[in-house]
Amino acid sequence: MRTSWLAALAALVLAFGCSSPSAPARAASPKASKERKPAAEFVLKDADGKAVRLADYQGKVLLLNFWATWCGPCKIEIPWLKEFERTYKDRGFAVLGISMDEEGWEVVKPFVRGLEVNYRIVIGDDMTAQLYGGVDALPTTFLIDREGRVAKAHVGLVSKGDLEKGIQELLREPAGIERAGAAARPVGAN
Amino acid sequence: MSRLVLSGLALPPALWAQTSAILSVAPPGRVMAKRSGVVEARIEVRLAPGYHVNSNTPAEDYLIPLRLTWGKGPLEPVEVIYPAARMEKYEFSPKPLSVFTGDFAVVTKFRAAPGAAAGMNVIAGKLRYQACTKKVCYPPRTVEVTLPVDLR
Repeated sequence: MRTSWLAALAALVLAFGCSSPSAPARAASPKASKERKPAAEFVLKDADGKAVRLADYQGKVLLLNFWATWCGPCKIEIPWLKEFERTYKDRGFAVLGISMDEEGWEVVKPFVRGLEVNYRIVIGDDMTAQLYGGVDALPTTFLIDREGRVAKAHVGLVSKGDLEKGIQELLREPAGIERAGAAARPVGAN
Repeated sequence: MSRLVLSGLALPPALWAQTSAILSVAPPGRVMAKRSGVVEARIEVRLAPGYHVNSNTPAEDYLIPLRLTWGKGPLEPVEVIYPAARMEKYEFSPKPLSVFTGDFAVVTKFRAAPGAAAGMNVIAGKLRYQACTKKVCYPPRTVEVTLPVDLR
């Protein structure tokens, strides 16, 4: 499934204007509202087997973080994500971690327990990765606005400050618009 | 003891099996082996600039080691010898990590498997690795390696 990762990554780069995987992720504010595309809907399961959908986060700013237990750059971001969850959850913000570990919960559960992760984690799959432009390089993080649109994509480790700046800017945007069409089109589609 | 020496550094790019844009393995040359004694096979690996893979002994438990394994065949591995790892410091890790970068070789010492028939044959190997740059990591992958063997 991952043999076409280069093409998929190229699609991601084209879709979001990201830098190459070996280069530092570009620090920037979220895209202008009119340039944002709807984030792809998905249904994945959390550690309790409960279905988690993108639609569950309707009206919230969502930080969607693709990661894996074997990924060093992902691991260093986890304390930041925990802090964001704590700091901003009461303002309509949430973090959702999508683990790309092929071994699934067997490796993910002890890992997140050890790091005392306070945000929701689900196990991802290749289909979800494809929906988000063919995520292969980890971490890959999407900031999704209250209307369910991708406001920013970061491929690779970014600074805590850049992530937080994006969150704060999105939280300042007015809320209240329905998530109509949020599931209509994958972000990787042109 | 006979020894296969494959000069990977001298190989033209076309002779590197392009297993991915990140890591390539040169097709190994034929190993000439006798029923007694030990032979060595050298697997030449090339990592693209800017990438590293965890060594066979990563510094952290959560990291996936590079590992070369061999299936059944006319030869059986006695020992797999990995190169000396480099200790590199990356922004994403509080302490240096044990990694391989650039061109390196993994050497396997083989001896004839009991009851193996003489003649030409192959042994299939698998090189499992997990690569990263300074900023991103890629899922673990496995490269198939086919080692031609001439057992006499």
